[in-house]
Amino acid sequence: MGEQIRSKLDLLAIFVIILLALVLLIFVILPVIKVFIYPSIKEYIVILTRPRSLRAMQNSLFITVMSTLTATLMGFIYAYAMNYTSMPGKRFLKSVILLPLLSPPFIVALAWILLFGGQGLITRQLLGWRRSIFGWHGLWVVQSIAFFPYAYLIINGILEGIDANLEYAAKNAGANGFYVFRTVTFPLALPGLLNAAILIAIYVLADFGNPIVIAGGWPVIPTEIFGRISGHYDLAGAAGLSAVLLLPAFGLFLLSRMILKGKSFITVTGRGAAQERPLVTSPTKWVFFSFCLFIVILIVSVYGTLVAGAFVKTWGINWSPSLEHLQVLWGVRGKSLYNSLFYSFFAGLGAAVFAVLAAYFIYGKAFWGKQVLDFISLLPAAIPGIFLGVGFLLAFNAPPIVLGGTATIVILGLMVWNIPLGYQACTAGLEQIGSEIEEAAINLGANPLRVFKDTILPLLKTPFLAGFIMGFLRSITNLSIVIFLIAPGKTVATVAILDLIQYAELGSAVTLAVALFGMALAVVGIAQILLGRGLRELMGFGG
Amino acid sequence: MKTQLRMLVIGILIVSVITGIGGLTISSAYPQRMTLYAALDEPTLEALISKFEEDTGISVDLWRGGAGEVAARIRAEAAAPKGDVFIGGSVDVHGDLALEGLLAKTAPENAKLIPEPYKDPEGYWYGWYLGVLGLVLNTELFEKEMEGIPRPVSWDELLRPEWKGKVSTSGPHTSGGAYIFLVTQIFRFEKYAPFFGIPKGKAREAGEEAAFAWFKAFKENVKVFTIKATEPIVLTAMGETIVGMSWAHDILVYVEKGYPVELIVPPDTGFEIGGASVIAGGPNPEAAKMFLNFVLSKEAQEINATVGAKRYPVTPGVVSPPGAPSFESFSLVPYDREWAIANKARLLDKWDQVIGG
Repeated sequence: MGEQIRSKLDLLAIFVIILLALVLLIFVILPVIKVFIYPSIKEYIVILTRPRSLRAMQNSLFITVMSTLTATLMGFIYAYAMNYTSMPGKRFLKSVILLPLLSPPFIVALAWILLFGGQGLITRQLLGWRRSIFGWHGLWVVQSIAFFPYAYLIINGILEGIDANLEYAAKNAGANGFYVFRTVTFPLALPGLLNAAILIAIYVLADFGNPIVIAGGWPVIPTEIFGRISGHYDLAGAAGLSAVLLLPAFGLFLLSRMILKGKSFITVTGRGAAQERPLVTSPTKWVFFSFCLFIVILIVSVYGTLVAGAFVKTWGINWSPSLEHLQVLWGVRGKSLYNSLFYSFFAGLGAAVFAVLAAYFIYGKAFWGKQVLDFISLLPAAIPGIFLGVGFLLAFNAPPIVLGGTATIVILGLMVWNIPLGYQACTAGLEQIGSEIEEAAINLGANPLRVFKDTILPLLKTPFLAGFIMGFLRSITNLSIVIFLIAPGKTVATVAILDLIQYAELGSAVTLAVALFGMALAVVGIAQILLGRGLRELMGFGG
Repeated sequence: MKTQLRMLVIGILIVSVITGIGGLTISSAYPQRMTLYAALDEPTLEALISKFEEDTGISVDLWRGGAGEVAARIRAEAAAPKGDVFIGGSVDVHGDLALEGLLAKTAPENAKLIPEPYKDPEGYWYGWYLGVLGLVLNTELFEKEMEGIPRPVSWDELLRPEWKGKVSTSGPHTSGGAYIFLVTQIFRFEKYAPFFGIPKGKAREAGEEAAFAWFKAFKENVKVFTIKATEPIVLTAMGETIVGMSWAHDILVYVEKGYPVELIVPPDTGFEIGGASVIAGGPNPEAAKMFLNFVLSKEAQEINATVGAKRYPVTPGVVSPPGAPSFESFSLVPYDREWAIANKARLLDKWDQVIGG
């Protein structure tokens, strides 16, 4: 990997490193410790032996395996299609697949309810069924759809990075398409594939929004944690379950670190512009095309259903067009949209700034404790959102640091959660900057601040932006962290949408969801115009 | 490269400043804020809040939950209350909180509009609407799956074995309505006790015995005991259950929306007085008092009666919910509210032991 040792530590570096270390210790390590030590041994035993907890753990394991398998598989097929076929409409296909990143994952569950619920368009209107399709089957489908775009992004980057010459060499030596795939492409892609699977597994394991909307009485750990707090004010039980949730997530995180042997976990280097590759034969191409088309139809259906739901009087009962649901945007619930924008902007900005500083001053320098800080900077990637929410709730509601009920705690929680992404992007960016530039600046007499400001910073502009935009998007669509940190007046759109769903005010819920999606799309669009850079290119820097 | 970077930094600074100023402007446009904890439906809340904000310029932050959830939250925050006013939920729930010292004593001007029986003589809570318990019946499913069974026009009809797994109701620990339902059955059996030769002195005891026996049989038919009082309506409207027990005014919302459901108000039903109170030690006591006063006004009661779930006003002369039966037409059990409040803990304990739902 070649960590390049930059100049020796100067005063500026020491100052910044201490600052960053404090942030990491207070806002990453402290919440984690708080969660683990909060319950007494007795309370641990109580919560972990409850039949419902055991069922939740079982279910979580089950659904994680199921949804990860399908999401990764779907992502792989889609990515393979993009790189190894000459099918038409690839630009469109590559753009549509990114749409789900602009919405909270649980809107898929919401669309599912509209289509397959008790008053569902398909179940009731078309098939005349009475029953709804809740429970684990619905959750499995919904999670696969919600998370496979993430798998696609990572796997696509992996495939792009495979040296096409190897594949051509095999082909020229006489191997047919499938043989090349089996012996060259797949083995090379495997580590990245496993990593994608691990990342998806962590997402599914930590998924709170989809199960709470759709899984009915089928408990999984995140919904149980929520139930403990919101239903019974049982913080000890919630902490105990959160600790249980972190262990597999952390294990998966370590596993992926091992697989990549220190290479970037989430990041893709972004230098892999599409190489020319041996393509699949024509009949196979159309099979892939049908699959991709099917996916596009799925995604479009999800959003189409939501938009339709916003303009129908009472879904499933009264199909007359109506604008009445638009009122929600100007009422009490609509205020949350402003908060979402505000908090996510600063969370993304904070995460990106931290990432740039950490990449240069921690990753790029050598000092005692560097490995530890480097690890902690990546740690939030292993922490399920709901665990972080509980941790912040426990750590910052009492002296010495009281942030409960403020906007600050929400912003900090989201910011910390997004640090790893930007950090990965910036360290990868740093790898590509030779140390010669820095040395040249120093030789010319620049002081440390100038070296950082004028040579390093400009070259890290792209990863910084990537971290900022991805941080913004992930923050604005987050539910699991914010659900425990918001307070009346400081609430965000995702929580408001969930509330409305739980009160069966579906018309208002979808209206708010569509407005949130529109807002995210607008921000991304503005960024694209201002920076002239394709979203996809930036996405190459982040999972 | 450098100019681009500079532009980028400037751009980010500008956006930060704009959003920052925007935030400050919005919060200074409303110099006062107020945090409302409410157990009412969305449309009613939106209407009440926007009227209040219009009239006073005070910005209202809302947290909505079932009455039981709101009470739990107020209790959890006792050391550092974050809410200012609690509206919705039966006055029994408010009365409980008052006994625990969690509510503030107030004397709003509009208290004079509220008839005596509907407000706390000590001044800790005020009633401002009435609601009756009823049944929501999914007519579509009833016709399809319950052929030959008579419409459940009385409470006892629900004990028929054919209703097994088809009934939903809420749990008395978390739902104020469910607790009122429990004591309603006690008072109902107490009312008819003389017919069975039970002397007046023993009537309530006997009523309690009979009520718990009734609930034991009832439990066999219940598919799910929900947390909130309104959840059985959603379940029934969606077809998960065929009949549910909940508040008549909430049921009517679903009837109006066009769901295949109908409202039945059985005789000897219970009713609630909906409460409003100021939370002790809340962050904005002045704004809280203003909001409480607003809620008791004729205007607020009219909004409550005409928007969203239509609840009956307590002040004579305020318009009655359009399209709903008059309040006087309901046959109510003689309800001993003080006894209900005083015996709540004991009865809930008994519920856990005998019914366990």
